[in-house]
Amino acid sequence: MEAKPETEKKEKNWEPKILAFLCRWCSYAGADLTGSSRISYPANVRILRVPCSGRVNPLFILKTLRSGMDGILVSGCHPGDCHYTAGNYNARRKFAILSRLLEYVGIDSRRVQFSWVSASEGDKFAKVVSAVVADVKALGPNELFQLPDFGQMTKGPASPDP
Amino acid sequence: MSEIIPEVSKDGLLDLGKKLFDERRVDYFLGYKKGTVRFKTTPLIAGKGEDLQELWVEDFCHANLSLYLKEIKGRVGILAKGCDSRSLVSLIKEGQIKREDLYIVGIPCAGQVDPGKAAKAASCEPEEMEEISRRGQEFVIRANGQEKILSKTQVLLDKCLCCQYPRPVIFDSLLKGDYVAPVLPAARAQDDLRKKSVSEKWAFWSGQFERCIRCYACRNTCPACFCPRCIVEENMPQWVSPLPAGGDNFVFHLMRLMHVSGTCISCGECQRVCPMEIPLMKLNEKMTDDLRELFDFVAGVDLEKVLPFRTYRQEDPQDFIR
Amino acid sequence: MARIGVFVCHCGTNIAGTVDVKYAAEEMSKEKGVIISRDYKYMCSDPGQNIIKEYIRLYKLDRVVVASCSPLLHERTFQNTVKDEGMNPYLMEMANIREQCSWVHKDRAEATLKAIELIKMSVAKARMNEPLFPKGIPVERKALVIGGGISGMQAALDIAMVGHPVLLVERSPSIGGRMAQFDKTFPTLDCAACILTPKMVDVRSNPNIRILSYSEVESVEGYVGNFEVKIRKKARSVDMSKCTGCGECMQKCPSRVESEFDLGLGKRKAIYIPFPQAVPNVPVIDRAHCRYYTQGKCRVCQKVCPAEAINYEQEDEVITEKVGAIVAATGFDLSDPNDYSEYGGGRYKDVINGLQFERMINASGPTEGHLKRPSDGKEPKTIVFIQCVGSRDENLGRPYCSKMCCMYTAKHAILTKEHIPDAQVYVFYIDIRAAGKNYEEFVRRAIEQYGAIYLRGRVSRIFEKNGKLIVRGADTLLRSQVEIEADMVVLATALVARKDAVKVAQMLGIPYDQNQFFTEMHPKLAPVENVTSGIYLTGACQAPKDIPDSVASASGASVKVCALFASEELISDPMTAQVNPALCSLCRTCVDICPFRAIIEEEVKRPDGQIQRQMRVIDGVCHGCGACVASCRPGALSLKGYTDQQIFAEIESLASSF
Repeated sequence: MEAKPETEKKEKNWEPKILAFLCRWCSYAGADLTGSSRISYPANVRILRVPCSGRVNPLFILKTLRSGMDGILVSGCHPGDCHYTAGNYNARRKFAILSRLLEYVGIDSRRVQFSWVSASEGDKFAKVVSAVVADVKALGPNELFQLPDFGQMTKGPASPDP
Repeated sequence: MSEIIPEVSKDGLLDLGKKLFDERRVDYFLGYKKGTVRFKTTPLIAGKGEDLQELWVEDFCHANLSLYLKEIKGRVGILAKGCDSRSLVSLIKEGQIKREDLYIVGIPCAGQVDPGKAAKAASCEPEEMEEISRRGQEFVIRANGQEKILSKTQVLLDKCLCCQYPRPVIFDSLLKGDYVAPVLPAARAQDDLRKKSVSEKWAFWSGQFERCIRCYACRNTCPACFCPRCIVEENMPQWVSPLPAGGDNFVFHLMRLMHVSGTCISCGECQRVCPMEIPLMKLNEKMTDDLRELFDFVAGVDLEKVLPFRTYRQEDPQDFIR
Repeated sequence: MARIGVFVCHCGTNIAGTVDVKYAAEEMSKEKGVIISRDYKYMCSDPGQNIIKEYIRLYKLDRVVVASCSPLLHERTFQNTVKDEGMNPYLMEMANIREQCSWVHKDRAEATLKAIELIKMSVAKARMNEPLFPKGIPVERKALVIGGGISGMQAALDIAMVGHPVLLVERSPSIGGRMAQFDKTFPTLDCAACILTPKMVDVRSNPNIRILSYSEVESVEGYVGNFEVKIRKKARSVDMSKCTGCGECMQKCPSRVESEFDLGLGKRKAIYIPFPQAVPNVPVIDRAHCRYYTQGKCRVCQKVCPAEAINYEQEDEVITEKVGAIVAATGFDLSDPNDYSEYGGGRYKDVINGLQFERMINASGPTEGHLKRPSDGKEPKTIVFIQCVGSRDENLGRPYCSKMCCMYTAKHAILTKEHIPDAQVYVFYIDIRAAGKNYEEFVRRAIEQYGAIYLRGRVSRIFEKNGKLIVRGADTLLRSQVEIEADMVVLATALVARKDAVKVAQMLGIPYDQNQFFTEMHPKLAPVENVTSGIYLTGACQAPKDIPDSVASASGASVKVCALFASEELISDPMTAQVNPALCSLCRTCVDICPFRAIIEEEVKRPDGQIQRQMRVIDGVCHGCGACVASCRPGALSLKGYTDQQIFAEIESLASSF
């Protein structure tokens, strides 16, 4: 291997991993502007582009939590500005209900956050990311769904078939 | 406004049913009949007038008959308790049934008996109970030759104790009787869990969902779960593993709850049929309260109002959004 | 098994300065399905693109992932690159490791790790990408314009000029709209009829325009390029093919009815044309007031008609037309001045609104151009104009400005002085909005040249005393109360949406705002288009507008229509939603959610002969937002290019790197 990165030399200091669903027209463009403006923010976020915040099924969030992601951010256009006119309004309703549901079953709502970031709000995006990272870091790693198995069913056969 | 309520007596019900068949206004009539298990009834699917002889409308009519409309298509006569009638409204709103295909006979309900709960209150095993009968506002449990008097609160299903819709919200005829909630005042029992801390709530629910065996009885008995194929059965992509591991159980139930929100009318069947006695109604009630508070929406009462996730208001709450 | 090529761009030092691109490219070569992975200085350059093409050929790649700048910048570039080499452009994915990685992080290790994970996400997605093909939907190159006012007529003329047939539907017996009611127009004081009638004649004589007057659109079905419209041609009781427009019938008709055109200031006959220059010049019988229809008597018109054109048995006719685009030009109404009880609430005859003033001062109006007090017919000497009556009023739920009133009030002030040189003219205003070309100069003329007295303040009360109207208001600049004894008061009432605007919007399937004005696609960048494809907006039905703006918006809408008609087929973006009917429960959540009305229900014949109801997404209308997909519980709907599989692949690729 030619170039050995410093990644392996780094200490095993836990850093939260955050998946951000960004809408292509506002928030994704806003995140691009953060870059063009060379504004720094923590490197914990991984961005997944969607056409509209309305595309984000609340069940994605459940699945992402199940997969072990420490935090989730969903960001779209400000109400009234949706490129598709109403996607963010539909999303807003579902996320309101999901937020409350998560809180009720004991999942801290700081793990799953939402924002409206427009294409011109490069600095806001950086601030939102920093705030979300700080919140999730304070909550600790997502160990929510590493629950004891029910019987041996998930462990599979003890040894491969002969 | 004076409303002419087409009432029918218990005896008249049989005649009504026969008339509906004779006039070819229904292809099937859904009701209850006594089965082989004590303190339970089984659905009666009548295809002709004579089948209605077995019709039973006394106690133990637990089932939400609107469930069977998933399979029984065409014009159907159906008995509906107050709670069940709201399922019918929900299903009409969801395009699953047409109002004109139904002939709804509302039936009075003084609350449904929970045999397991009654046995516990009577300090006996469910198999030891010989008879459960009403005496005025109380219940008499006969077990092992002895009689125990129990109150409604000790015998009725939890959901019946906070009944808000004793009278069907939609019907073509009403069976003669009293349409009063079994327990007054209508103030609902508070869910203490809501006041607990996040970690306490987590401990509670993870403990509950650990026990789920993924029998899907809750889903199968729910009239709001009418998808031709449930996403649990999809593997391309896989929404949730079908294995009954704690984490996946949790996710399955949350996913199902998000899907039925807006359609669920808290008929309570999911909790009643759960073999592991998981308190699913707590989740449904929380969802119902949130929908009412956030979007001024109550499922199953208004045939005109748009379902909550199919519409929006400019002023929808967004204090949770940065 | 996918054959993926990964190309990591240095972008000079923009990326390579922070991200170890060589290492990233090496790590990616270990990923399942990645056949070749390399880095290069500038991927978007010609040599860079050629490398991609060469590798597609050499390594028989069927998926390409370019890790570089933002796809918002270069997605099209690299899509064209792979397209040149024969690969479907939708099999190319980009990982944003510049704007969203190297430019925002400083730590090399962190940035490199993140870049690798981002590229892995794109690879995971690319594996699930399928080729997508834009579809064409046929377009009926015929336009429907609803409303025959200045906006509708201009739109019709512009579209017809390009050569497309236009159906112009107008509810009243004649085209011309509001302008026909005006006397003169600001800021030039052109006579409205003089500039309007040539346009009306142009419309009538244009072979591509078919006018359907005294007709209404009843229903609109279908979608862009393929609308099916039902139009009700109301019965005039006059045979249009025979009538010569001689006017004998109107002369002899004994019934006199309050004229809608003159806003109650004058009368018309039961058989009438709304104004002398009406197009078509064919009268209409108002059956509600005609003695033949109400009492079975009279029939004078039939007796005197030399062309035998009267046909009492005529009935409404509903016709169906197929059109490709619809232009909404339905115009406006004025608010009710009686909203303000402090201004008399309709009790005082001499308190009129701006449009009534126009009718009065119009030479062909009910008073033949003379200003007369409606109460006693005397000439008014002191006239008070009050602006913003009904506009800019939160209490009435109408916070907006009606845009035209400052200008037409100044015009009325000037016209008053021209008709009655010794008249005293007062104008109560809050602000003067004269933003158009030569508008400010026009208002100053009214004040400086014509001597209109402008008082900055509101009027608190108007009441009658000894036959005069006492107007009590404020002059805020002088900080004093003002009381004027007026002969006539003219209220500049608000421009409001038509009473049936909501019904029309719902019929067209277009959104409307809290003031019932039709909503444009984008308030700044798309003011004449609509979210519903194929429907365009022009004139005051979209927002208060004066004549120049209305004409401009009409021409704007026309060019959009012509662009739609430019080809016989509409090529759609292939990233649209699609339905798998086997999974669909027909709950219609998607139909309610879609803002574009892109999902329809159809009846389809199954192979066994049974009829089945199915939902279908109309490719040409779907904008690809995916809101329907996210709300589809059984997962019957999927969004091409952003399927659940693709998104899950991205999520899972991240999860596996724990």
